[in-house]
Amino acid sequence: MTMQARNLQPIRQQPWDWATKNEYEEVTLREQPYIHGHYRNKYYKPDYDIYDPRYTRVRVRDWEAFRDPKKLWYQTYVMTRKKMADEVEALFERAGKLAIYERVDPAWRKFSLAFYTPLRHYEYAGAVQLQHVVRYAMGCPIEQAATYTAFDKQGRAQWLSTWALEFAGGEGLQALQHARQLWLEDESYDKLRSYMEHVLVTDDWVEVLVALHLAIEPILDRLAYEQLNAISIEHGDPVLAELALICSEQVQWQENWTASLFQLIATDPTTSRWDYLKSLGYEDWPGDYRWGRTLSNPKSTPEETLTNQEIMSQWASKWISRAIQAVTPLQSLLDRHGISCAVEPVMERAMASYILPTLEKCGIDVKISV
Amino acid sequence: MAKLNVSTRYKALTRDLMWDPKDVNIKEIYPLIEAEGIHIRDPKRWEDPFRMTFNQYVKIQSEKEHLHHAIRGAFEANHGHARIVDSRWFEGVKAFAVAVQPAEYAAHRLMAYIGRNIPIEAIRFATFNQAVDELRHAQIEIKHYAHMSRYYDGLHAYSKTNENLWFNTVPKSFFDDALTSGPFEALIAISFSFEYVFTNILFLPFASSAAAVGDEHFASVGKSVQSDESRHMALGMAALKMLLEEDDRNIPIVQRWLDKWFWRCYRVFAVISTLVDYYPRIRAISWKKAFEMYVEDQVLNGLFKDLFKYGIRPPRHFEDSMKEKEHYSHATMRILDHYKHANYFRGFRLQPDDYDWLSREYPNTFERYYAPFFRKMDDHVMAVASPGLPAVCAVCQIPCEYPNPDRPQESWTQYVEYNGKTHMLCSPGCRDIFLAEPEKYMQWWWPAESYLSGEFGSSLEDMFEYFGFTPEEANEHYSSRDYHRWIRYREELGLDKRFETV
Amino acid sequence: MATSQQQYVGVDLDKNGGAVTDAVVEAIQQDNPGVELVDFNIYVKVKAPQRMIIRRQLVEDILGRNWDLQELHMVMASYFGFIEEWDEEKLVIRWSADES
Ligand SMILES: [Fe+2]
Ligand SMILES: [Fe+2]
Repeated sequence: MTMQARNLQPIRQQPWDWATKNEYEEVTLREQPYIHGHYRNKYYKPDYDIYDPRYTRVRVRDWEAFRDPKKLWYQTYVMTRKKMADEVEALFERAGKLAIYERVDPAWRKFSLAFYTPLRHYEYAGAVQLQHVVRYAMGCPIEQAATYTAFDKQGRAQWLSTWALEFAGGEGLQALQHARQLWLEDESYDKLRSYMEHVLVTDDWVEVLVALHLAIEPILDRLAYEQLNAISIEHGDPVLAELALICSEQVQWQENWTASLFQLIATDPTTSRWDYLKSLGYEDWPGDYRWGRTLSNPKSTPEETLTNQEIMSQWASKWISRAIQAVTPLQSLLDRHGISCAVEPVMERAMASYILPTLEKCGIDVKISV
Repeated sequence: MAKLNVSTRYKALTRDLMWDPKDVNIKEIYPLIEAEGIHIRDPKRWEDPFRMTFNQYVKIQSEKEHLHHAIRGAFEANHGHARIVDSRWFEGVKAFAVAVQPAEYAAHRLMAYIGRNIPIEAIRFATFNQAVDELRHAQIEIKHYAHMSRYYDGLHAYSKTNENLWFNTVPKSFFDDALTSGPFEALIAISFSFEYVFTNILFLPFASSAAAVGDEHFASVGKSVQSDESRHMALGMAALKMLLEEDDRNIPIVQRWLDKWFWRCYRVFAVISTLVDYYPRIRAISWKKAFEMYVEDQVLNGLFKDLFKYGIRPPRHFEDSMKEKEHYSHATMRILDHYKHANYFRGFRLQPDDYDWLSREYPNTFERYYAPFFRKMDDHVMAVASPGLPAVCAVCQIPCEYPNPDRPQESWTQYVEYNGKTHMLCSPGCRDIFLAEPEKYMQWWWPAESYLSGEFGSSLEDMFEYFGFTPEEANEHYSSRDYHRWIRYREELGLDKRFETV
Repeated sequence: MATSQQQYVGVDLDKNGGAVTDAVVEAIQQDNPGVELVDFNIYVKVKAPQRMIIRRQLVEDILGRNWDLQELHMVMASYFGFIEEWDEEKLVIRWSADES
């Protein structure tokens, strides 16, 4: 009945005046408006526009140029996460039916509850501060990836909670309570908790991404979701190892997209934070008529004197050093429970296999002081 | 293990995840928490009735996505756009595209802002979900317009249009207003006033009309988006109740926000009234009836009776909106027709069946006050064009051309002196909003002043360049190239015209 | 203002929900007094004075298959009233104006 349909000639091949290569780009590019925001913030940074390049110190020629390597948009995001959710639920169901939890080595049982359950706070704090990134980042391509990353973190916080509830059997709620106490009071968590608190008060949204994805996560997530997998199986616990595998799939994606963002920023030689307006087709735009009249002129804010690489190098040095200090004390938790796993080589491997190569691609030097 | 019930389990998964910081000051984490004068004592009592977890969310939502995108795929493959009953519907869809879609996106960023800044975990989880939902809505809608843009005018530079066109300042200024408010005000503005009081009227009638005119894809867009709204409404209701119950000092503040945002929402829906009453050639319902059903019955006679016990009264200009219901869509359509030569969605010549329907549904107002205007346009489509730039309301940004519903021959426009300048407002509702926060509203981006200042160059062509469309994409539908394209598409598909058009 | 009118609570259901929508409507009618239906093209509005309950078991009995209350998310386009309870077994929507 619709045989001739393909004969209809469209009036344009591309839906938009800006080029798009695929569905992801069609629904992602130019989503955020860049000019003519009506009002300035009433309370937070009252001289700033709703979408303002001054929310970060780094400058980028074209904020729309970032691409998520996985090209996730809403549809592909929920479809892939639905599969993970099904896997996680099936995993817990099988574990219950096969009574796997009862056969887990007692030392590992104690350790894993004490180690993985408090991480729900770590994941959640990351999700909270990513909402800050979602609000203030420039452009949909970047903040969209941050949105899904935040949602993943929230998901992992819930998966860890569910796991603890199941694993601890009738004492599930107490297990969560106890883990919270460890997170707040145990010395092995002191630095990690403090690290996340400092992330929560970090204002520059690019710095938040550096603190999370170039420092603490590459180290801690490798320990939690990779390094301990084999040890978990050795102690008769395949459930946690499988859960960690699913988590690490999310973690790898968050590392990949942030690494390409860091590279995009670090290799951009732009010196004016206003250059991106040209990439949007506003090269002849003289600026908003209100600037200097009813609104303060944002262009009178002095430009940064450091390069993006220098700024990122400061951030990376600061946060990587702190991340190492935050993860090191977890060794005492492992030792206390008689789990033989050395944290330091894990950190070294994280540095060698991910952090340093990423920094190198960015052309960034760091000074790590521990 | 002993199975926990839904509520205990939900709490275990979503509560007590944050902690009081030990090494930084909590006020540094939540710098806005005291800014608005809201007092919170024991927010733990508050519950999100939907209790949606991550796993449930991605499972339910992926099923919705699956259903919707299957309908979209079929519609695109079969050229559903050529099969609807009358192509002028697409002008309404275009309006929806550039007015509502950017609003969805703004709501996405806004919900992240609220969730980040309000330290109440249950609210936060619901706002996180909604932040992701709103991105969904923006993208589902975009997919429809991306397809349409391949066959019709007006949408190919929608972001630029959204940034620079006078019409788009209406929805844009609305969300910009919320985005620049404190987090609690933003919560009441969007979760309560917008979602609970008004979204029904946005998606239910328009999706029904879409189905009636045969736009299966848009009907599915409306329905699929609306299926998330119940959750957003529940958040708004619970948030409102929580603020009212937490501390008596919150009540007058909340009342002020309800007064402001009721009228702000109502005015941003002006164009929606034309999408209900004018653009669909087959209508599901009139604006007047939809307003009575969703706003008067469900909100005034339902909700506000319940809020009475807190000392909350109906929003200040509620009665004005009731009085205006027999005028709203006609007066707004008249405004759109005045400026249709500079807009990306077109007006259209009313057809005999339109006159019949409008007279029947609006026996007290249409023939008497509005039909003569539209008949004048029937003779010559540009007869009613206003020369020059519209003088728009400093709050809602709609051209100040609304009649006073008590004396429809007179204008409702209000004038206010502030800071050595006269400001024009479209109605007493907008005037009171201006007066409550003049330092905010005097910041507004005024398109006319911007165009005159030379921000967009010196010629009309320069200006259209910034608008993101050409004059050929504007004006009247039945004499436009889009109409002729649509006829040609139908001929190629072997379809006959169903409606006579004069 | 017509404040003397009856306060209604209710739900708007997607008519494309097929057997599920039909079963939910029927369950509401069986469990609640004074139910009114308003047909609205692709939606049906189901309203009841003051309070409405939807019970999983009854929907399941009418539907003749297992039914989870979470499935309501797929067909419930909108609602009005306060959601007072929503657990595995029931959904209760009500106004509470006359309590005080
Ligand atoms: Fe939405
Ligand atoms: Fe106004």
